[in-house]
Amino acid sequence: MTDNTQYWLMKDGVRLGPMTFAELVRNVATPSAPVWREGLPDWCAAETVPELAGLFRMAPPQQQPQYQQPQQPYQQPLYQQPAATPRPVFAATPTPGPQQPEAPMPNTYLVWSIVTLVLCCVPTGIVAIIYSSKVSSRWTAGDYEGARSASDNAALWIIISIVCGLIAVPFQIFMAML
Amino acid sequence: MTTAGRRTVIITAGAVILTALVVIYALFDPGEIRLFPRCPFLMLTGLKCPGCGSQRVIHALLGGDIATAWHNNAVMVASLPFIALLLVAQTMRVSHPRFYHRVNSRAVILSTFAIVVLWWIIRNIFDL
Repeated sequence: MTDNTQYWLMKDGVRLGPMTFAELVRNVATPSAPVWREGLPDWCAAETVPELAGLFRMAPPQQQPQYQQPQQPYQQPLYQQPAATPRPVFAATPTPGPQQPEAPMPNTYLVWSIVTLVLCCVPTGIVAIIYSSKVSSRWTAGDYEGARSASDNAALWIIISIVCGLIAVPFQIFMAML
Repeated sequence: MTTAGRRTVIITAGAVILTALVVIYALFDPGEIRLFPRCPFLMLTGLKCPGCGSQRVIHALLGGDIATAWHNNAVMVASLPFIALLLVAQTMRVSHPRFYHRVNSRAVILSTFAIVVLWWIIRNIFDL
């Protein structure tokens, strides 16, 4: 990774970032903490990110990270302190604005919710589409853990819909032949 | 199996199934042949669901007959560009997160849900 790769970290249900690699190393607390950077397909557990893999076998480095001057206008003043300042408070902005470079929102599976609702004709598709909308609203509200669990629930209900739909097909064909 | 290998298998299987479905729905008319699945909601209640007519729509569109497709399920035909947009956004979720977020905003999802439910009611009142 290049020196100016930006990382995002999910910590206690709050999304932190963008941050540099050095900041990420200081903030990652557990091997399972979700991390994302450009090039990863989705949020990954920190221990599975190649450049972090060695981190959990040794103590984190103690040197002060070199802070880059952030390019984004939305970042908090504390974050823009000069490099010499020790241990700046590092917090996420709770409301992502349209200007900020965003980490990807969890999958809403909206298109599959609609397809299963319409084609499988099963009421469980309605549950799926409600979870799809929760992904979006929770993500916008800053509830990143909630968005991830809503995303998982949407996927679950889509799978339930498809299974119910497939089970029904032989019966539908049988009924149609009567 | 490696992740890449599994991905190739899934994509190949998906392409084969999709091709088979396209050929079946292009050749045979679900409105005439009784072997195609019937909507369980329609059979149980006598009312149409929002997706009723989808198989006939696919058959008509594969034959280039937009008028017949429209007659069988107008909202489904009208929403195909939107579904295409959603699929594009889905493939670009990680590379273009802001675009994905906009297409999948709460307002868009709830509007979609409202349209589906309204269509469900209206098509049964006016027999569309």
